[in-house]
Amino acid sequence: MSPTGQVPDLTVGLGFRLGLAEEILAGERSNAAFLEVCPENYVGVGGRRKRLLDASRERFPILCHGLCGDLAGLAPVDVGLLREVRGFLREVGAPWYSDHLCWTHIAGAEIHELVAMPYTAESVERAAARIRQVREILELPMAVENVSAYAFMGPPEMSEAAFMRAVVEEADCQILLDVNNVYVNSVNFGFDARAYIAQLPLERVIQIHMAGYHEEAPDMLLDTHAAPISDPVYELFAYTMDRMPHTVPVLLERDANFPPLAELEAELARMAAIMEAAHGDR
Amino acid sequence: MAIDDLQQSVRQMLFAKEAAPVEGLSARGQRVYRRQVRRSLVNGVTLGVPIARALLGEEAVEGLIEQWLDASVPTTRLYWQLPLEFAGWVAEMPSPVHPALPELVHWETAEVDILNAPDASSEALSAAPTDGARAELHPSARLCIYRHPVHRMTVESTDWPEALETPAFIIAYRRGERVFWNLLEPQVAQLLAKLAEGATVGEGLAFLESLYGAVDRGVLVERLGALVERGALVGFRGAELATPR
Repeated sequence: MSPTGQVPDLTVGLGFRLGLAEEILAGERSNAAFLEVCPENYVGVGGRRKRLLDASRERFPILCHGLCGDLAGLAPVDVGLLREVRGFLREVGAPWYSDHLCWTHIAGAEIHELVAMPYTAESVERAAARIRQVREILELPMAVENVSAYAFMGPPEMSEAAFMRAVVEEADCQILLDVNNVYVNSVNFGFDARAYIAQLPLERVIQIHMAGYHEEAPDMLLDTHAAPISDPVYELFAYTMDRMPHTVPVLLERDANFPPLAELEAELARMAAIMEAAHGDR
Repeated sequence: MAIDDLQQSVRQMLFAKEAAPVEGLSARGQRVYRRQVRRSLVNGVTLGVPIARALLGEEAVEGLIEQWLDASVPTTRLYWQLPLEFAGWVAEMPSPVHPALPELVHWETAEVDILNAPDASSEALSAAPTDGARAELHPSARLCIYRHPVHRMTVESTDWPEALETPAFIIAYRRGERVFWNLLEPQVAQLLAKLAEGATVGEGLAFLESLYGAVDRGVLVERLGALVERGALVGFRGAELATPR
């Protein structure tokens, strides 16, 4: 078993989205072995959202992934919201909680996007302290996700990979590795995606995200979750899986331009085949 | 640049009407961030106002949301609540394109709020609105007052409604997974508002009597019972106390 508790270790899953939920629940079987839910969309909510979530919980293990934890931010941690999230995590039996290593709150504004922070020692310390604080409130293991970025927030003191490594080691937390984001940033900032992966402490990776991007320009990719996974991202995923010391659940993120479910199932099958090739005989 | 100053600069870059460039960031990266952040927020609001979009057009509504972002910033961490914050800003607009616009946006976003409100607890409450009882509204119930019949508008509406001769008092709520609404007589609306504050039925009726002199308690209590049957009210607590006169 991987360190994933109730979630089978060699599995692929789908992001739980209202636009997909009815179709997933209507199907008799799915390649998805788990669903990932964003708690902020469901805490304190009833009606259709809750019904679909409850129905999904009966069929699938649930992993939980935050959207607005502002883990590298400056504003005080939203303790009230986190306590609500903690209740939600307990209700769905989440084995850990993940959120993005970035800013989501900027000088009083909730931006509902993921903005990369400066890659500095100061940011490392701040982010590590906040991750520890959030973990204490949630009383669950924490994983942080690398985000896509479109500009350096000031002169970097270290590479993104070194920053990621420093934060997770300082906070002693896990990594949710978004392979698409690594690829997007490798194009946007001109670094070697494989070298990035090689620099990470892969033993700390507890989950992987896969998604599609939009090519705005040959040297500017946008992480949209609105397109199929591209071949270079599959290749980077295979490279990563070959180097992972253990298997982890891998999630397909799709947030918009939903295709027929069969297309997503095919993407899940392709991801599962890559995982099987890398780890099936271990 | 100090980290606080950097965040202030990034906020200006994202939300100022004319994007203020951030020193040291690539111009293209800033353009992408500004567009992506604002696009995410615009999308979060437009989903909640389909009638306004149908009536005014996508471009006009998106322009309105952009004005909101120029003038204010979102403060909710919950994405589904963005339309509600937008409605608050529209309500304060000095000169909306039509006097009914703030009410329409309020109505549409109230529906978002109602659809997402928590479910009622499964605790069985009395249906009898006795004097000493306190009403429990369904968690989704919202009391609204409109001077235009925006609650009757649909995505098929092709024109703004005329102003009503007297305001419409409405209770809107979720039953199953759909939004229902009922017109209320003014006294029933005032009574419900009082009950929503925590008053007992007797206290609410006494309040109405202080406003109107005599009121028909029997009819008002009957209306409350009907709202329980429809699901706008979950029921009454402490209903074992004295019955209304």
